[in-house]
Amino acid sequence: MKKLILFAKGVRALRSGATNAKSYPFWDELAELLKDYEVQEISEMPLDELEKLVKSSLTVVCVDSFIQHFCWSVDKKAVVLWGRSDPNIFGHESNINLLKSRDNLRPAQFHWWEDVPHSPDVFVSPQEVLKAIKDNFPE
Amino acid sequence: MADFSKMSEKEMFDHDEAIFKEWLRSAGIIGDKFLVVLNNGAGDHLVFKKNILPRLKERHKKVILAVCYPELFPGEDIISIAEAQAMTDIDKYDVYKMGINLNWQGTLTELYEKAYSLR
Repeated sequence: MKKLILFAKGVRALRSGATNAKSYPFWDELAELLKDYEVQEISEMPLDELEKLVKSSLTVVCVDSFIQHFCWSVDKKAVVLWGRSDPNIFGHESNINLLKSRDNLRPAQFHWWEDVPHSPDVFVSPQEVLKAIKDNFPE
Repeated sequence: MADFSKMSEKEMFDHDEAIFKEWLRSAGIIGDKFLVVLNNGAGDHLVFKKNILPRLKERHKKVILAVCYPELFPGEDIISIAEAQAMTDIDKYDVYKMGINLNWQGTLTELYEKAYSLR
């Protein structure tokens, strides 16, 4: 039976309608690489159901959003894909925090996200995410 | 500026009382309750819930929470952000504004600690 990996792709929608700079651009490619696992996307659900689902999974792959905090709060190790926001400020050590480079962090971490352009270049590759999963959750 | 020479004893008492209540309000104390305002994201609420709220409860007998996501705080004394706005200036509770003003480089938890005088 394949182990369950959850994807939490969602980030807060911007008022401008533009893509939020926190959005990971390679979800489809990552899903392709994770064929040894059952991949399921998290949908909106009550918190108690979310906790059960999260705890039943091998891990949750997400960006800097509610889910990374939720996993920390229920003692579930998540794989968090960072780009422009700083895991040292907003992240949790209990998660696996994948940041491509601190050079990509925006200078003003507490400013709103409306003006931050989305750039695929600031995120780690799907291959690096796969490696982190294999290294941290061995068969 | 109040002219104390023309005030009755009761007027002076009321004047002092108003100043004291204003001071309490500025310190986050409304009536006998300590006010918390979380006008931010659900994840920020969770960080507060796990890392800050238990410590505030040790300090204050009654904590009242003005939050955007009340479902994250079952069993707590909750009011809306609008109700908090009617009580006090909620800007001073805005940790994101504080983070900008201080160019904060510490963790979000440490910023909450500063905002609620826990460090």
